[in-house]
Order: sequence, then C-alpha cells, then structure tokens
Amino acid sequence: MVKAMLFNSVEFFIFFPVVTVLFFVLPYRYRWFLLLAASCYFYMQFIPIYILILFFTILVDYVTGLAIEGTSGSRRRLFFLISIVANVGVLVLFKYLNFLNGSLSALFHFAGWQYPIGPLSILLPIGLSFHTFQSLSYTIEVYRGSQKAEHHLGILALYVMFYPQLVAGPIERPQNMLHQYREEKHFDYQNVTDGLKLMAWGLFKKVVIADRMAVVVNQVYRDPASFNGLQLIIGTICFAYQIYCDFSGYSDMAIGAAQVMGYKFTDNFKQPYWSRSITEFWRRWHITLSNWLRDYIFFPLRRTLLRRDKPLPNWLNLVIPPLITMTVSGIWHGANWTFVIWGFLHGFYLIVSALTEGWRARLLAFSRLERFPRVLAVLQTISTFALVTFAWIFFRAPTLGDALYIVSHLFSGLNAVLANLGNYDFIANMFTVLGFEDKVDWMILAAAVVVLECVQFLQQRGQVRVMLSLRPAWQRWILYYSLLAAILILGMFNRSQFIYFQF
Amino acid sequence: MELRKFSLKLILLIPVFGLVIGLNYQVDPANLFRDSYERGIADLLLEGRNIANCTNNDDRLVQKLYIDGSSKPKDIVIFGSSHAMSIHACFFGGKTVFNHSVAIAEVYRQRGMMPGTIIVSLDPWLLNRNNGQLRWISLVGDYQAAVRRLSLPSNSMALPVRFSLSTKIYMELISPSYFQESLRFWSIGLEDPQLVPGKYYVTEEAVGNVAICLSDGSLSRSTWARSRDPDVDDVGATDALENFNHIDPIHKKMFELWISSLQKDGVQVVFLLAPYHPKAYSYLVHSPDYRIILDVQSYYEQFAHQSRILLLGSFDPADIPCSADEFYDEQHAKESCLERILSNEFGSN
Repeated sequence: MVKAMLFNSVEFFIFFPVVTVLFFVLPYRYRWFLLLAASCYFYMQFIPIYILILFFTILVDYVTGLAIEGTSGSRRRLFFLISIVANVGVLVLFKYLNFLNGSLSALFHFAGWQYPIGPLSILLPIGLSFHTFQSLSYTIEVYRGSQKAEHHLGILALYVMFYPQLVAGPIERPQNMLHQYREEKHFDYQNVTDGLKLMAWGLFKKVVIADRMAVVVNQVYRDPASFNGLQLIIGTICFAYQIYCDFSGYSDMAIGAAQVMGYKFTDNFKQPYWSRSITEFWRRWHITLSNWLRDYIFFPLRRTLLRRDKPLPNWLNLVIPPLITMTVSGIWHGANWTFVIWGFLHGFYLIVSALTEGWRARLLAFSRLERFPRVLAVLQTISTFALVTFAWIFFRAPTLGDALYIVSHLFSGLNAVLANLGNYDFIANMFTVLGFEDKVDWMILAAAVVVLECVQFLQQRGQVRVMLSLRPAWQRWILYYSLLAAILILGMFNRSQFIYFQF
Repeated sequence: MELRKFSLKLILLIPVFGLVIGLNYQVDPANLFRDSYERGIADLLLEGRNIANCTNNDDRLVQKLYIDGSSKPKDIVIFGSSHAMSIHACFFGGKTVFNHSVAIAEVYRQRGMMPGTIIVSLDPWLLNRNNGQLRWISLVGDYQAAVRRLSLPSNSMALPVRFSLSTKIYMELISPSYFQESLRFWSIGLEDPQLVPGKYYVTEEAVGNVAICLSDGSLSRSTWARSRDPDVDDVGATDALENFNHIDPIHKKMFELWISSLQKDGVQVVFLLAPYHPKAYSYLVHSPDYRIILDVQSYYEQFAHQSRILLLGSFDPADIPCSADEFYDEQHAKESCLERILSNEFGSN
C-alpha cells in the first residue's frame, strides 16, 4: 500500500488540530505560508520527491497565467497551449504512459509482432488527476477572461495544494477559492463546530460503512468465479455503497476541515443514489468533476458541433458530446479499459435517456403512473440505482475479463437460491463466505446503511445541521456521543486508503 | 467569547478522549507502555521454564535480558527472524542451544559469552534497503556499538529512527485501532484472564492451545496453528520485500563485515536458508517484483563459498524437499522441514 497521510489516520488527528491552532494563532499575513507549508508536508508524506511535479505545474501555470493576461492574439493562445500541454503532459507521463504502452504491446502481440518496451516502473503521484484538473481550470478561466491571473505565487500554489482538497478534491474553481485565501479568517464558532461535525460524519461513512463494505467487495471481486449470481449482485451493491461512502466521506472531511478554518468548498455530493434519472445522478455525484467536464468539455464540444458550417444530423449532436465527455470521465478515473467502458456506459445511458425522452413520456402517460407520484419516484430511483450499480461492475473489476464474467453470471445459480430460500443454513453459508463470518457484522452493516439513508432522507428535506440546532442540547450530545462511539467501536482503522486517492 | 464557548464544548469531549487514552494505557494489548513485561519472560526463560501465551513482547529486549542474566556461554545459538523460531534444542543432540531468532551477537560479545557456533538464518529482505524493519531499535545501544566497532557508515540513522519509533508508540495512546484492541482484550479478560493474548504463564507442556515460548528460546506454535490448512496469499509472501529492486550495497557490506567479525572471534558460522511455502515461492520467482530472491540466494551461496561457511537449506522448498503441509504459512516452515535441513550436519541423536 502506498504511504500517505490519510484523513482516517492517527497522524492526521494530530496534524489537523496542530495546523488549525497555528492558523488562528498566527497573524493574518503569515497564514498563507503556514497553510502552504502544511500542505507540502501533507503531500510529502507520500513520495517527497513528487512534490517537484506540483512545483513544476504551479510554476508553469503562474508564468503562463501572467503571460496570457498580458498578451493577446496568437501569443495569448500559445501561452495557453503551453500551460495545457505541461499539465496534461504530466498527467499522461505519470498516469497513462504505461496504459498506452501496455495497449500498444497487446496490439503488437495480437498482430504477431515483437514489442520492444516492457512495463515502465512509474508510481502514480497521489491525487494527480485532481490537482491537474484544478490547475487546468485556473489556466482556462484566465484564458477565458473570467478570472484575473494570480500575481502572488504562494497564493496560486495554495490554490492548487491546499491540503484538505489536494489529493481527492473537491476540484475547485479559481473564482471560488483565490479570493478566499486573501480574506482574513476569524475564529467562528459556527464554522468550527459545523466543520468538525461534518468531519465526524465523513469519518463515520468512511470507517464504519465504506471500509466494512470493502470486506465483502474485496472477497467477491478477488475471485468472482467462486460466487453465485446473488452473491455477485450483493458484492456489487456493497461496492456502490462503499465507493459512495468512501468518496463522499472523504469530501465531507475535506469540506469540514476547510470550514473549520473558515474556507468554503463546493459541495461534492447530494444524495446521488436518490436520483430519479442518470442525468440527475450526474448533478448529484462528484459534482465538482461533473461541472468541470460539463463546462470545459461538454459545452464547448456541443457549441463547436452546432456552429459547424455543415451541420451534423441532430441525433449526432445529441450523441457525440455526452459520449466523449463521459468517456473522458472514465479515462480520468483510471488508466484501464474497465474505466473507459464505465465512462462509455454512462455516456450511453445519457444518450438513450435523451433519445427516448418522448417515447418514455408517452409510456408514462399510458401507464398512468403519474397519478401515483411516490410510486413513480421509487421506481425511477430504483431503476437509476440499478443502472448506476451495473456500471460500477466495470469500475471495480480488476480486469475487463472479470467484469464481463460478472456481467454474464449475474443471474447464475439463482434457481438454487430460490429453492433454498427457507433453508437457514444455506442462506447463512451464502453470507458467511462473503467475508463476514459473524452475523453481527452483517447487522452492523445493515444498521449503518439505515442510519446513512435516514440522514440522507433528512438532507433531502433541508440542512441536518439546522434541524439539529433546534433540538435540546442533551439530545444533540447524545447524538454526538453515539456518533463518536460508533466510529471508535465499529470503525475499521486498518489504514485503508480512500479509493479516489489513486485517481 | 466564541473561543470560550468552543472551549467549554471541548470539555464535554474530554471523557471520550480520556476513556480512549486510559484504556489504551491500562490494557496496553501490545505491551508498549510496560517495562516489566519482557523482564518477566526473560527471568522465566532463565529459570528453564516454558511460557505459554507469550506473544506481543519485544523479542529483542527479551533476548537481551536473557543474555544479561546468563552465566555460561552456549554451544550453539541461532540468529535470524521468525523463520528460524521453530528450531528447537532437541535438533542438536546434547549440545546447549539457545534460539534467539533475532541477531543479537553484539550483546553476547559485550558480555564476553560468544558461543561456539552461530547458525544465522538468512532472509532475502536482509539486503533490501526498503525492508521497513525497525525492530532492531530496541537494541540501539548495542547496534551503535557494533556500528562503531565495524566502522559502518549508518549509525547516524539510529537517533531519528528511535525518535520516530517512540513517537509512534505514544501515538498509540490515541489510536482508535489500539482502542478497539484494548476493548477486545479487556472484554476477554472479563471472561477468562488466562485467554487474554500475551498474558503469559508458566507451563510444563511443550505444545498447547496457545503459542509457547520454550526454555531453549524457540517457539512452539499452538495446536490450532499446527492443524490448520494455511491460507497462502501473495501478501503474506512478500513481507519486507516491497520495492526490492537491487541488493543494497550498504546492507551487503554491513552483513559481510558482521559475518567476518564473528569469524575473527573464532565462532563457527553456519548459514541457514529457510524455505518458503511452495505456492509462495512460486509466486515470488514468477513475479518481476520479487524474482530478486533468486539473486539473493545466489549471493548468499557465493559469499558462503568464499568465506568457507557451511550453507544449509534453500528458499526453494523443492530443494530440501519440504511439502506444502510442512508450513504454518507462506514463510514459516514447520519443525519437520527445519529439522530435515539441519539433521545432516547436526543430527538429533
């Protein structure tokens, strides 16, 4: 496992309060330096030398940002391209070179030719895709003229490196963050307590739900051939919860940590599994990445297609932008064909959704389901969750072969399961081999998911923080103590990494 | 005003942190905060007792305390790692034997009790700069004495490593995973104090339901460990072999100087290569990341030949031969396998 300072580690429990106390103790003018130094230390817990990659891209973006602002015409475009090439180049070098090399090697092998280059020994810098996209958005916004170039190198470095969001986002825009680093932040009771509560909730999602789900997921995906269809489905549903709680848990902790110091990050998740369509899912899942892809790839691509001298057929204008955007999203997640297919699949969902809109409306009218809006909402939510979860198979499977095996065996052995529904030993054994031998573990998992869904239900109705503040103090404190006790007693603290660190 | 309000709220959390720190310190499942634990084990070993349930101790410290309390040199001592822990005195006929399973020669030297023969069990990771081993830090004084005596370059490493280790130990006080372990030990203790892992007691048995530290320093695994069919996986095979790209010249030099210093002291050195489980070995030699163990074995063989040192065993279990059921796990051979390696040279009768 790659070494890093994880939000769920003891090291971070010490690092965070120390940095926060220093932040409020230090005079305002030194704070940017403190945060930058802390961020460097945080990043260097991974592979210290890799910080040079960050310094390189920050320096290039700093110089080209100023140059873009100070020039016009083709020179301006040239500086813009230099910045893009530098950022994307680093990403390709460290993340995609081996993938391209491996794909070429496979192609040569298929054609019966010799391929001279073996696998390259390159360790992926932690959070590379996140800070690269954040850097890119700075350059793009400066180029578009919607953001002034940053003249303070330290502030720009902090924008890219601020430790809560350095390795797994949220991917922020310069318009939201740069001005915040210049503002004097005062100790604010509400911010500090709200931030700490959010961090505790994020930690609960990570160590109690995600890491517990991981036991089942790892068991199933390590050797899918050992399991029947129902077990594969359970493993995949567990992964849907694992990745959500892992990533949204991280985001909550990042947002909370920044909020304690008075910085406001963009929300990254809004109960995505309560979505009633794939389009809505992408408005609620990894929101900052979705917005990035929408603003910098989807919209420009669609505008380009619509402005063509020879217009394309309308259906192609509907198909190309989502397909390319979502495939890029897949590639962004990982250098593997499984991620490409995952992205492509979501693109396909969006296209089918757009192309069948009229047909679905007629079907809805025919079925008269509109008269039962709650039933309709439940059906739409379940079907969206099923589609999203199906796509997760490709995201999680280590190889394309494994993914295809799982897809083709989702319903295998179901007859045996149905025939033994009343057989306790059969059912118990089916769950035991999924990683948890004790039924108490399954009960903890189920209870944790119920708690999660209850909180999400409340989040749908408003801000849980506000609802809590209306309750008597003793009730609030019972909740806080319960949350802490659940984390301390039921959490799995085996230093498991956050899934999105690898991207 | 706001800070004061916040401080008052923090006070309400003190019981939670107090409980975590208090339980971690009081139960202390890994015996990090108790000095008397290792001394107790060493004293019982010196009395020639077998000790049941003696896990979770700092074995280097126990060995050092054992030597401190010994009065006569041994005929044979065994150095190495956990790979050699199952070598018992009965493998060597009537000779006096102590199995340290950790390299502790400098302590013997300083106490003027060098044995006649030292069997050094060699692991591949000894030559891996990235082996991540910090356990030697318990013997830091003796380590630094050896470094000075052999004019080795790396003594400057000791202080920061010791600082880092002691920091890590004290961080366990607030560690949630340590808290969970403390809670588990505490609840086991409520039911039956003898079942608490690491709560050692004297036994006459050589094999029992829990692991037993035998009076000859070796380890006797529990009946459960002996009877189970081990799950062999890649992770268990690659312990301390991460990022092992080349044989580290500094580690190699340290090793060679140390061995030649033992020879100069008139000690007969014997090398022992303990085999891996057949599946683990197959994985290692077929993986580009770990195939280096073949080079390491070649080096050990070559060095033994040059230094006229007897080398017994092999990382490859087929060379012995030892079958899959003669292993406790990926890396640890059972007594039958180890005795077969040693029997030609030492004989048990």
